[in-house]
Amino acid sequence: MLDIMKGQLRQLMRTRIIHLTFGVFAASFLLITFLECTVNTDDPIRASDFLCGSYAQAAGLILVSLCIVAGLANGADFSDKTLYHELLSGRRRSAVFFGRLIPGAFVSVLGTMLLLALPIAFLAWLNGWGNAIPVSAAVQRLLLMFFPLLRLYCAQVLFTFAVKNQIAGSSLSMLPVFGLFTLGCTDAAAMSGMQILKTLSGTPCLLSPLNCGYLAKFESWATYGIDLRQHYTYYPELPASAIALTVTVSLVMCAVYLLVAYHYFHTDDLN
Amino acid sequence: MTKYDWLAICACVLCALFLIRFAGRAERDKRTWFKLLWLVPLPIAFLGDLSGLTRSLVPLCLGAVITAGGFFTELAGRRRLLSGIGAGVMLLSIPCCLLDPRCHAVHYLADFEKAFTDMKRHYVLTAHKGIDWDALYAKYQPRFAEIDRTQDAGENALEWMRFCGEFYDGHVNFSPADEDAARQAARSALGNDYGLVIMRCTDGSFAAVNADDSLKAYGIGNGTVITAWDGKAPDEVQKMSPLNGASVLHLAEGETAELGGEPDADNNLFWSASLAAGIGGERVKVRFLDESGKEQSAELPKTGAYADRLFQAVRTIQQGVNIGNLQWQRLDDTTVCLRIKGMMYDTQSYQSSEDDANAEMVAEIRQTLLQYRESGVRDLVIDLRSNTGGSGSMVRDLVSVVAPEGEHFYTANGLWDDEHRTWATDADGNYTAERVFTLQGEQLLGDGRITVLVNSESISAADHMVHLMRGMEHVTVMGFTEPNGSGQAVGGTRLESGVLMFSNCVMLDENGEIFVDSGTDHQSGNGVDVQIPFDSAAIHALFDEGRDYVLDYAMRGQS
Repeated sequence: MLDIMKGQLRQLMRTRIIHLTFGVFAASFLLITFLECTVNTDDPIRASDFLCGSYAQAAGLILVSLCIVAGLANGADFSDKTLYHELLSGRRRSAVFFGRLIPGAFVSVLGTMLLLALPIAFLAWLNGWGNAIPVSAAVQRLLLMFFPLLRLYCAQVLFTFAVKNQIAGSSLSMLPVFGLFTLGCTDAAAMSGMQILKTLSGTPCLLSPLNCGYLAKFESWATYGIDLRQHYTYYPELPASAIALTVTVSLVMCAVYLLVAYHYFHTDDLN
Repeated sequence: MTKYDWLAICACVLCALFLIRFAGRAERDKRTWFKLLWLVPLPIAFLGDLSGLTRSLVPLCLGAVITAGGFFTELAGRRRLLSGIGAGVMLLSIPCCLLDPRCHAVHYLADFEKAFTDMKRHYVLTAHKGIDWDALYAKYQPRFAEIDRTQDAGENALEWMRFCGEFYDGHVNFSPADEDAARQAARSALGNDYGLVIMRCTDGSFAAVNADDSLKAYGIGNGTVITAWDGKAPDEVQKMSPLNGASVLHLAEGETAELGGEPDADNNLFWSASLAAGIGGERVKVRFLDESGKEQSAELPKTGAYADRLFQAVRTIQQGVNIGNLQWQRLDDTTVCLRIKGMMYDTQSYQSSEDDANAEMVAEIRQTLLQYRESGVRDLVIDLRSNTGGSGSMVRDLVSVVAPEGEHFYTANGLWDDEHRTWATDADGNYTAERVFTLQGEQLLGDGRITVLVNSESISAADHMVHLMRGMEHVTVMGFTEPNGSGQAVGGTRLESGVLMFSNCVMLDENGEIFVDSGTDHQSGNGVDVQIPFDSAAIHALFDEGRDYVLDYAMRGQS
């Protein structure tokens, strides 16, 4: 299996479409960040202010890149039949399945995490960190993001192996992923008054994009003066229960998705 | 149990029953995607949960998981067994939902904990009002825990009103999500109607108001002095009311009244007997003075709900000139009235932080006032009764039109400590002033007199306006009571059972003290120049003749 993994990793690192995907999303995110922080040149937005403010709404885009890369990493070999050739040449099914899954996870999840950190690092370099929240809180959120991103990746793997197509699975999930992430990181659900949205927003561990949105959102409190100038206080501490749920539910769901995906692949590999 | 629960359970069970039948065909025809069908109940059960997570639907989810076991086998017998067991387990959700009192329960205690935490963090008048958070928590946490157990939405609303009353701050109030339950609970807690409302008069006596015609048989009418209600002084009786000291009461659809928990002790005194006449059993014994001044007694039967009579009485006392917001009414040859019901001209200007946000409104008011001046108007009555507040910039711009020429102090923002993300305080714990806001007076009315009418519902930005104008040359503030006495701006926390609002922003006066709001002495920084006596003349004018006594009184003062 190791040789398949090495080969897959080499292939992923050299696939132009993956470079292009990450490149376009990174450039878009940086552009949004740059525009956001140059709106008011008198009072430059610092990295922690941006992270607690409009970052979350822009970060939803980045999850879409994970869907695309996950589809490409696991589904590309269905179209060129490499996967079938491997099976027919006597490779174990588990080696074929996990040999693609693991390098794909490495590239897409870690790549997405890097993309998520990129604008913050850029802004911290440009305008400084600020004092909205400590750096440690941001790092904690980013590291925790690994678990729901992995869960999202595993769900994409399931879709991809079910439809046996590199594009269909990820295309179907892009819009719901972006929508659910936005729902998780904004107050839209509470404002809408719809019970279904309130339940989703109030229980972020139900779905991985919601969980990512929850981690990208910092609880805040706004106050203002007679001139309506607003001041924000942020509360970056996550409840222990939220951390525990994020980790355990993500890992359990990863296992469930992979179990179902592998079982389906096992009985449907040469179709 | 909601219709969505029924829908989800029925859909999942039907799906499982279909799979029992389908298992035979799936065994014969081994198309791989057929096995995916055994996973279908999972998302349906998941969607069912979205109508509100509840433990009662755990069997539904469990049944869907058992059914999903059919995905991992291709033997028809096993698939039938798993689907059958799954359907049976799913059906258990029905009795669970029907019998579980916490099925789709509202988390009243969690709401309290969240609101309490937010308020403790962000309520800006903690020191000024001497709020003891630990004592409040110890008092109210068990009550909300009990409400959480009983799931009583009405009692929850009443408890919040009692909690809000503890802050004697007009800006601390709770808007219940279930308004009907809140209204019903308030109506029930207000008690029975015995045909009258009792109000405390300025001379300290108690008088009947909004008295029913049927009481004439006993010799009781509007203005009759009430000496005892069931053997006690009416203000003592009020203390027995479950709503004594509570904040805003929801009495009718979209209508509220604030009759206790007032920021200012003088206003509390004014309403100190208003709840008394709802307290009693089948009959109450009332003692009163007849026309000759001799004490009489009568036994009054209950006739209905007190809330309606009280609400009518409150509206009669608190009335304002019956025209729209920022509308003018000529009162006589030399006097015109401007009614301001809320400090909001339009949404755009209300939300704007630009200096000229109200330019259109100012131009309109200036033009109207000049036209009235040309037609002989000298004096102005500004009716701020029941003004619910709004934009501070509108107050500044309105007052600048009529204020004496020169610069006038309005208020100062508290200094925001950006490093610690909180309002800055000095070594003694007092807030520090930052930016001072002033206005330039135009004195467009010349030497004409300005009378400002207020009541205890003139709050927030209306309080600001009174604070600004009181003491200006030619200005007289008058009313039965002082304005509300709540000057800080507000923030809120959204809960499952409603929204809690409270003072959240720091505004200071020219001495660097808290602007307007009352402190531990229960005296706000606002007041009236002329307190209109609430006496038999006022009561007869209001309740027998239907006149606007406050306006008439102001006009008598003008002339």
